[in-house]
Amino acid sequence: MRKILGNILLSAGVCFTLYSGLMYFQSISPRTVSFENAFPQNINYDTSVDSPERLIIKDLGINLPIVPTQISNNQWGLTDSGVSYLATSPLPGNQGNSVLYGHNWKSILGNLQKVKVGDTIDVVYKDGSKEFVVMYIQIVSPQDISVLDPTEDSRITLFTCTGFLDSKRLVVSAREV
Amino acid sequence: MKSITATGSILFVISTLISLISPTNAFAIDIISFPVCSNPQGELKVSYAEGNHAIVGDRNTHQGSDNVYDLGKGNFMQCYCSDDGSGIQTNWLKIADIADKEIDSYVKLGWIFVPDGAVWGLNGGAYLAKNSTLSCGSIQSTPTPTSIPSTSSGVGGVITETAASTSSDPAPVLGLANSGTAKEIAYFTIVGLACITIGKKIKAY
Repeated sequence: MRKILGNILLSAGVCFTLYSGLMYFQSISPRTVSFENAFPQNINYDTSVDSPERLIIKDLGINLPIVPTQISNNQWGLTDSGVSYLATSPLPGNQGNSVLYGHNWKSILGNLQKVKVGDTIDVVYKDGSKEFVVMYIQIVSPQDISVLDPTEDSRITLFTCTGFLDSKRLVVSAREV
Repeated sequence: MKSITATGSILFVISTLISLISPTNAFAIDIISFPVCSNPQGELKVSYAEGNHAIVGDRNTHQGSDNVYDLGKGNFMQCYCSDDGSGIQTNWLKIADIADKEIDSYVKLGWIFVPDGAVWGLNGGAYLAKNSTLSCGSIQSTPTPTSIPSTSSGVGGVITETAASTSSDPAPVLGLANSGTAKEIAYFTIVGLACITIGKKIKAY
């Protein structure tokens, strides 16, 4: 009986340890916040002058630097110190769909899961800020790249990973006011 | 014999874990990649700013706005948004005649079988429908509709008897786990190592 109990505990221990290792790998992998088969066009602005600097969601206590990134060799660039801005998408505040994303770590976008429709998101530039209002919150699969498609309005699409082993994307769409 | 039992039980638990996280089903139907309501695609066929609507798989009526997009080849996407901001996206997948066994497989994956889409204002023939929840606001993306029916018989505009009930309500959109956090990783690591340590001691005792 003891042997069986010991084996069960050993098995469970191995599984828990493997699971934690898998979670760790997922949490540090840029793939966890990417969308598959999405290849936006080239950068069309001067990143040294026009780049957005900070993303603020006051209701959630989020105030993070924005780091411009790109997709290179099918890998989404990703910063560990703030929010990544896909520099091939329109600048936040310009017409179109601006794409921002980040880890779901507590220090980055972990609180994004508490966002509500109607919350405001501020994108701060050197010379002012743009305000956006959350209009949609949806959890999608990484294959649902339509969330990145161009739009006629001026909006930001902010997403992070969520779900079992970060297998889903929490997508927040906010329109400029 | 004991070592075989131990190895077998470990392999069983690991294989069970792997089977839980691996896709296992392959079907004859190509499930298209549906867009999402936050950035809808296709041709807006029906748009109701207000009114009572039916959602497939739900016998209740729902008050709010409802837009339906034609994605081509008989497939549709329905975006319902209630007055209180809780929404439902329904993906309507047109299917050809398929065996009951295969339909059952889809139903197990959360799809709802609709024998005749015409009852819901869609094309005739069988459909599979799947609901997912979202949060939405009063500011909605409303591209110019290319054709609006003069009657209110569009998808979700009327209550029908074909709305199958389901006991598996979708989880709230904000209720999912925040996986991979440092706290959770530490928790599982500690529990795992503790189990291994205790298990070893029990075996050696």
